[in-house]
Amino acid sequence: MAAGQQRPVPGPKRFRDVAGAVQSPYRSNNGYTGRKYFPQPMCGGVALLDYDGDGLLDIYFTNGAKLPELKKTGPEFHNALWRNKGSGEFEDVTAKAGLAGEDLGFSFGAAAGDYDNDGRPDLFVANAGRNALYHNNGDGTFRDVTATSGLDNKPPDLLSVQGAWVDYDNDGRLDLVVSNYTYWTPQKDKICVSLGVEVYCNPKVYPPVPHRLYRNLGGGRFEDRTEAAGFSKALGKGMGIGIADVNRDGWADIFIANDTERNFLYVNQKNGTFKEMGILYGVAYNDSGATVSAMGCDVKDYDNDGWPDIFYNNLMNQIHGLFRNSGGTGFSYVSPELGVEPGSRAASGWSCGFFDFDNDGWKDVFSANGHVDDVGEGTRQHDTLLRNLGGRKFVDVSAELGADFNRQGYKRGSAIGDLDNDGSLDLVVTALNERPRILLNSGNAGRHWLGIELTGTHSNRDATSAVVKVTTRSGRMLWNHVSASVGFLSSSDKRVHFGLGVEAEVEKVEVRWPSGQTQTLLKPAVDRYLKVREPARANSALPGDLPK
Amino acid sequence: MNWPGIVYALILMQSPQVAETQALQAARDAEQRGEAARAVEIVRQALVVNPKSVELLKTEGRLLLRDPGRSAQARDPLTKAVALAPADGEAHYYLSQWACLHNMDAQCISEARHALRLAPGNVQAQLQLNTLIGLASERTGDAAAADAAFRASLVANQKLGLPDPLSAYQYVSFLLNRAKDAEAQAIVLLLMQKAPGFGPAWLERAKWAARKGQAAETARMAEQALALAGMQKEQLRAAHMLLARTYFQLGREDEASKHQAWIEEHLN
Repeated sequence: MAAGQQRPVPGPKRFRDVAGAVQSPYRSNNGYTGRKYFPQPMCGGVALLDYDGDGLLDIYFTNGAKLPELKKTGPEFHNALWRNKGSGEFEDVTAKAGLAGEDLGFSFGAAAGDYDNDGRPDLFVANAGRNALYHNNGDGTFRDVTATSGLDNKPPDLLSVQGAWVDYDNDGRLDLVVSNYTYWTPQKDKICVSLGVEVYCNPKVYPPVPHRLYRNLGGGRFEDRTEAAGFSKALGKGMGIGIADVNRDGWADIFIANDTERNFLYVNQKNGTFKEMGILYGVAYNDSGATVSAMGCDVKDYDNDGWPDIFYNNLMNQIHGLFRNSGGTGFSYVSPELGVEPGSRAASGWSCGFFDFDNDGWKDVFSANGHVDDVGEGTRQHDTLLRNLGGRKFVDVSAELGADFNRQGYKRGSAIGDLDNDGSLDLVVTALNERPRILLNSGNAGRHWLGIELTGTHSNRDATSAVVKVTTRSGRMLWNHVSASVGFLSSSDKRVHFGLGVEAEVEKVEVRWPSGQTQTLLKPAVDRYLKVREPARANSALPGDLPK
Repeated sequence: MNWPGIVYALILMQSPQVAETQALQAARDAEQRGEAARAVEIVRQALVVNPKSVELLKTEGRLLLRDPGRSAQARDPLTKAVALAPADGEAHYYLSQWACLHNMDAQCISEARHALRLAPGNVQAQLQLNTLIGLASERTGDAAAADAAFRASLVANQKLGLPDPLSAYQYVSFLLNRAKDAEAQAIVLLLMQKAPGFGPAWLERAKWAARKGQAAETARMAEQALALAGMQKEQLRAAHMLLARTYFQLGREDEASKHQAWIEEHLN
C-alpha cells in the first residue's frame, strides 16, 4: 500500500512509542510562519550516545531557528538532551548539560563521537550559521569548544547538513567529514511558486558546494584538509554520510548522498588523500543515469557476504537506491531485482538505516518518510520497514508493526539503537513540528542475539570502521561494519548488533580493528552485550583482513 | 509590424469561423518554424474572438504541454475544451497528459479511460492512452492496473508493428521494478529485433549482462547503446556510466577514465 494512505494496522504492536511520557518542551520547530525558507524541510536531527556512561543510550535532538533572524530566539528552538533513566523513561537534561545551543542558528545533523579518546562521547552539530563542537566533560555537562578546535572556519553562508566521525588516516584519532549543501542565508533565500502556491524551491536553484574534511591533530585541534585530501574538487548538495571500508583494504572510505547531484564515494588512497570514485564504482547515479534526491544513507552488509553495501532513500516517484558491493571493485544497482520499488515509490524518505529489527540475522531497511512540502496529495506519510528475506528480496512489512510505527507526518531524522538493552533494536524518529517518537521494539520472537561494544586502544576508541564477523555454531557468517553515521541528520548506536535467529551458540567473533590488528574471541555467551577491548598487539596471522 | 503580426491582424478582421481556421494554420506554421511561443500567442488572440473554439483550446493546450516552462498553464484551456466538447476524445487525451505530467494521477487515469471509451477502435489511441494509464497507475501503487494497461498498450503497439518503442520500454521499466526480469527481457529482445535503432533496449540488455557477470557482453551492448543514444542525455550518461564501471572492474582503467571524464564534463 502506498505511503500516505490511511490503512488498518493488523498484527502485534511491535513498536511502542514512549516519548509521550517525557517531560520536555522539545518538539522540532522549523520556524515556519507562512513563508517557505529553503532549509525548513530539514529539521530534527537525532544522535544516540551514552553521555553519562551508565550503559544506557541517551538521545540528543537538534532544532531549527526563527527565520529570517536565523537565531534560536527562545526555548521553542532549543536543541535537547534526553537522559535515559531505564525502563523506557527519559528526562530532559538539556539545561544541565549545556546543550540547548542558544547561540546557534538553524541546527541540522548531530554526530556523536569520542574525538579525544577519553571514553566519553562528544557531539558535533552542523548548522546554517556556525557549526558547533561540544566536548563531554564527564560530569553531565558539555563545553562548546568550537572556537579553539579549528572547526570554526567555515564561510558564514555555508549550509552544513551533517557531520560524521571517521579515522581516515588510521592514526587512532577520529577525524571529521562534513556534508555541505549550498551557500544560503535567509537574505539570499529564493521564493518559488507552483500553480499559484508558494512551494519549497527545487534544489537546482541553489549552487552545489564542496564537502569538508577535518583532520584531528590531537589536543582538541582539527586541521581543514579539504583541499589537500582531494575533497574540494567534487561539488555536491550533501545529505547523509556513510562510513565503511568498501574495498577491504583496511582504510575507511566515505559515501556522501547528494540531493539532485551525483553521489560521491571517496575512496581512501591510504596516504591522507581520497579519490572520488562514485562513477567508477557505479554509485554516482541510478542505473538509468539519473540523479535523484538522495537523502539519508547507510553503508552496511545486507547480504552477509562480508562486503558493505550502500542504501540511500529519496523522494516520491523515485526508487530508493540499494547497491550491492561486487567484491570491492564496484557496486551493482539492485533495487529493482530485490523488490525495493514497491516500498519506496510512494515514500519521500529522509533518514534511513540498515538494522535487523527481528533478529533473524538479516539486516532490514528502515526509512523515515514524509514529503518535502505539504502541497499535493499523500504528503503526510508513515515510515517504512523493508524486511530482508535472506539477502535476496525486500518486502514492505510496515503494516505489521503497529499504529505507533505507522503514524503519519513529515518524518526527518532517525537513529537506531538498543535503548533498553533487551537485544531488540529500537528507533528514535523526529517529525517536522511535532514531538519525536521513541519506538521501543517489543519483541524478538524468541530469537537470539549478540551485541558487541568495541573499545579501540591503538585504533580510535569508538572503533569506527572496524569490521566484525560472527560465525555461529552452524557455520553461518554474519558481518557488521562499525559506524554511528547512519541515515540523515542523525547518528546511531555505535555498538554492533547481530541477530542470530534460532541459534543460541556463537563459535567465534573476529574483529578487524582500524589499526590493522585482528582479534578472535571463541564461544562467547549470547543474548548479551560483549565488551571487546583492542589488544596491545596483534594476535592473528591475518593482518588487515578477515578470512571469508 | 512583422509578417505573423500582419497575418494575425487580418485574421481578426474576419468572421470567427474563418479566423479560427486561419489562426490554426498560422499557429501550425509558427510551430513548424520552431516558434512555439508565437504559436501560443496566435491561438490566444484568436480565442479572444472565438472563446468557445474547441480546436483553438485544444491547440493552445497541446502547445503549452510541450513547453516544460509553461505546461502548467495547459490545464485551463484543456479543461474548457473538455467542458465544451465532452465527447471529444482528443481533448480528454490532452487533459490526461496534463494531469499525468503534474502528478494528478487519479485525473490522468480517469481522463485517459474516458478518451479510450470515446475511441474504441483506434489502436493508436489504445497504445498511447494505456501507456498513460500504466504510468499513473504505477505511481499510485496499483500494480495490477498498471500491468494490465501496459500489456494492452504493448498489444496495440505490436498490432501496429511496434512503431512506439518508448511505450514498450515503459513496460520494461515497470516489469524490472517488479523484479519480473524474464518478462522484461522478452520485450527487450523484441525491441532489439523490431526497433534495432532504439538505444534503451541495448542498454537494458547491457545491464542484464552486467547482472549476470558477463563483462565483455556488457561492454559490447553498452557500446552499442552509446552509439544509438544520440543526444539523449540520460541515455548517454547511463551508457557511459555502465562502461566506466565495467572497464574499471575489468582493470581497463584508461577506458574507464575516458567514460568517467565524459560524465564529469556533462554534469548538467
